[in-house]
Amino acid sequence: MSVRALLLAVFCVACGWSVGLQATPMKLPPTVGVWTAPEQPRVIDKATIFEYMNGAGELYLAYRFDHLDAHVYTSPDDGEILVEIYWLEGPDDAYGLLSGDWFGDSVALGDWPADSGRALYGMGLLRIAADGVYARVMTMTETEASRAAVMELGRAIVEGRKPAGEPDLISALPAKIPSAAGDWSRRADQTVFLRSHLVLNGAWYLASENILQLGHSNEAVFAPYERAGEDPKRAHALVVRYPDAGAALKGLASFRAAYLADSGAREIVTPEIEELYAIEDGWTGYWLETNHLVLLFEGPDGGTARTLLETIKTTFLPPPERP
Amino acid sequence: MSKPFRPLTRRDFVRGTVGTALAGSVVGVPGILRAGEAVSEGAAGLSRSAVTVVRDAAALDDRHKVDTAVLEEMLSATICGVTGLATAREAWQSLFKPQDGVGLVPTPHLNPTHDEVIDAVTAALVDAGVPAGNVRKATRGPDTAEPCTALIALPGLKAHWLTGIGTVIKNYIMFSGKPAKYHGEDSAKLGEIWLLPEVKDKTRLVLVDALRPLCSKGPQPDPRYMWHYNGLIAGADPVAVETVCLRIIQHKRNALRGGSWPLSPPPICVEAADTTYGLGNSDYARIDVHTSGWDEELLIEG
Repeated sequence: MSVRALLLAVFCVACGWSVGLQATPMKLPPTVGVWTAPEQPRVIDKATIFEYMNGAGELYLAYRFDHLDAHVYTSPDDGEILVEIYWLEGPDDAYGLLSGDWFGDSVALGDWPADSGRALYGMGLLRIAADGVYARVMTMTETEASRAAVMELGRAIVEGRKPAGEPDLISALPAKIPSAAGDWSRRADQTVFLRSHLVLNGAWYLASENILQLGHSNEAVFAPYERAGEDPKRAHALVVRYPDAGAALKGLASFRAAYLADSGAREIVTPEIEELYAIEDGWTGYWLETNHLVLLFEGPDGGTARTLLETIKTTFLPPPERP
Repeated sequence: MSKPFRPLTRRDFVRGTVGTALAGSVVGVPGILRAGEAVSEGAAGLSRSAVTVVRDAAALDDRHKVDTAVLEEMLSATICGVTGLATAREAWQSLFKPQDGVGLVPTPHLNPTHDEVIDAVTAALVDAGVPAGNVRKATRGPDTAEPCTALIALPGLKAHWLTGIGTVIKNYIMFSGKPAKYHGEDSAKLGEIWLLPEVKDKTRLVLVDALRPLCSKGPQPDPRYMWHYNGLIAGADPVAVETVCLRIIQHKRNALRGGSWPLSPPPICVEAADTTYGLGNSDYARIDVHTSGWDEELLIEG
């Protein structure tokens, strides 16, 4: 490291800056309504996140977290408004954090329309996924004034930023899957983009350990499908995109050893595999092709499970080679 | 030759083999009792499966501010309910002596224990004859629990994104000295912390601040899932108290979503605290719940 770079790093540390994606905090108004914040936010990085939020830090580290700016707006009589700006590696990470809970009203903010689906408000909490930023703006005491202040801060956060786009892994999933007993619909309001087994377990518990070998180099989507009608059913799809075919094969082998060891799962011998098993809670199946692993859980019967798996996998098949 | 390690999976829950899987995983943990070895009885004369729930509609105002006078009355009713004694002073004196060093273990994060609850408990202890200097917060490593002769678990009622529920059993996580270890696969083993030498047999009262609980996993405070329950929940059996808390959280979640909305991950630590670590009773059918005060949306029926 050059002397100049060293001096810069020392300066950054002395200023409390994270040497990461965005060393300069977002420009927010110093005062909103009766609430005022210090000029500089508290900066929290990977090393200090547990001091700041205890075990909650695991959630942000489960995505590609760089650092967090925490702005605390205070008022002598009206409590606090907390603004947390999470700087992440990409829009998928911001989307993923928002996707953990879709509950809330989608609201208009600045140039963002009310149906953007990336600014959700409920009872004092505004959550935003904008480019590579995930933000929480929160008042614990919702009043007309505090709600207005939260929205003003939200407008400042989204200014010049775009709503985080839907990860292509989710866009590829079918919204509806026809079957003999009725259509299956994906629950978009429960579909989660993730990179970690901890987040998966928060959405749908699979195992106490990371049996799919998920991590920052993976993308994954958890998607429930439901069939309405006289005999309503629910099944769960999980699609993982590994960085390469070798990692996908290892992930599947680990899953089979932990989850299907006593179900007659055979030795993996081919790079493209499709298997279905009847286990305690219904039919579980998987399909592996190069770096994509599609898993299906709780299929109501073998035929339906195969239909769901086949339909989902089709969207991830590589394009046919041209002659 | 030892069996290969097998993680706990969803299939264990469906099969009902969680207890077996956990028991196999904790045998031989250094410094910890073997699976199934029960801890000794807690406070003398107290049922280990009785839980007291006291509520008052006036405990919080519409800005969530605690009415301290109402809270003090609730606390008195709670401690009398737990001990079966007629006056609060007698009740506190039956549990804590002037020579005790009493460690209060409130929750500092997520849904923190209200300061007013901590202050009211401190005042009650002092009124009962425990010198003020003998009452301290014990919320960090094992060295903060070690000098205490008695502990009061004083958590806020909340769900938790890594452990399902993060109220009573998880409240001692800092005493482990390595809390991150319990955030993932080892969350089922939270009960072992209650058996550490610095902690074991010291908890004479579990008193949950259920004034404004958090029924979703967080992992941070979230006003969308907080509501005025306006209650205190207490007992001597940490697992029984946690089991009642779990029921309240689950019923509130179901009510919010208009159907089943199970906690995920499942709160394995509660059953494990019972069946693996012998800390108390997680079978709701064997818990006597005594309620008093405001009875709207009690969330324990059914």
